[in-house]
Amino acid sequence: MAKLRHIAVAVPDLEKAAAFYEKSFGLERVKQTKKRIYLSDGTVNLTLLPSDDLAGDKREGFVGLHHLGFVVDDVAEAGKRIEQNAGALVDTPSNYVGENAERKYWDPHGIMLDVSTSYWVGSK
Amino acid sequence: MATEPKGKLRHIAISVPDKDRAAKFYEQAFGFARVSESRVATRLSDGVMNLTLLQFETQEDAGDERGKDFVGLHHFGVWVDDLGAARAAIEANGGTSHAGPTAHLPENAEHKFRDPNGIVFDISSHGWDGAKR
Repeated sequence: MAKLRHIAVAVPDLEKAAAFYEKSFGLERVKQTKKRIYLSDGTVNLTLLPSDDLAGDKREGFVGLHHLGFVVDDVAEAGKRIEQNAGALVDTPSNYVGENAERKYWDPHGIMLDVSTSYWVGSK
Repeated sequence: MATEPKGKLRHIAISVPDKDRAAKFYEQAFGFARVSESRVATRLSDGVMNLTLLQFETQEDAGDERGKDFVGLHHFGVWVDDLGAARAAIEANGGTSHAGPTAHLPENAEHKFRDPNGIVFDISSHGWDGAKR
């Protein structure tokens, strides 16, 4: 069974959003880069993305729940099952490198889903 | 003495036009297990996380400006120790209470908030079907 361990939220201000989740829920900041802040509750990773720089995505400026990520045993196998069930591979730019070596799919309703064999930082 | 209680992200809700079809996708593509159903919700689990497919029938079910026909990631949920303490922390940090759906939803859906960016989440002190702290 795949494990839902990554929630990505697009926000206008990474630092302010991180402070909210740290102070409201005691989530822990486990990693930070120029364009990402990664929080964890010990099991699930919550990643904050900058709304004005959503690489690999046409939703520029979007604020809100952006995508989910699943840890799977085998990305190719998971991809096959996704496509057999009306999901589709996301057309990412050729230079796109996933933060967690993930592959991106659309679910049948256009919800973006990452699949990866490795756990997102702070998740297990 | 007081150690800050850690909220646990254990609930994702997706609003869809057909919850049964959507559930089948997550069952078949990811092996999630169906744990419970209600008029407006089909609830799945991976053993830790609850994934709920919502199919609102009325605007009242939907409970906010996105309306019943919204399709997409709808809200997430945080399992907390103490609802009162969590509410105080949320409001002290710029979150706001959100009426949310009023009818026919499980009791753990009644404590809804918006974060400072307007993102909707709920909090529960007893978790969600199929979720594990």
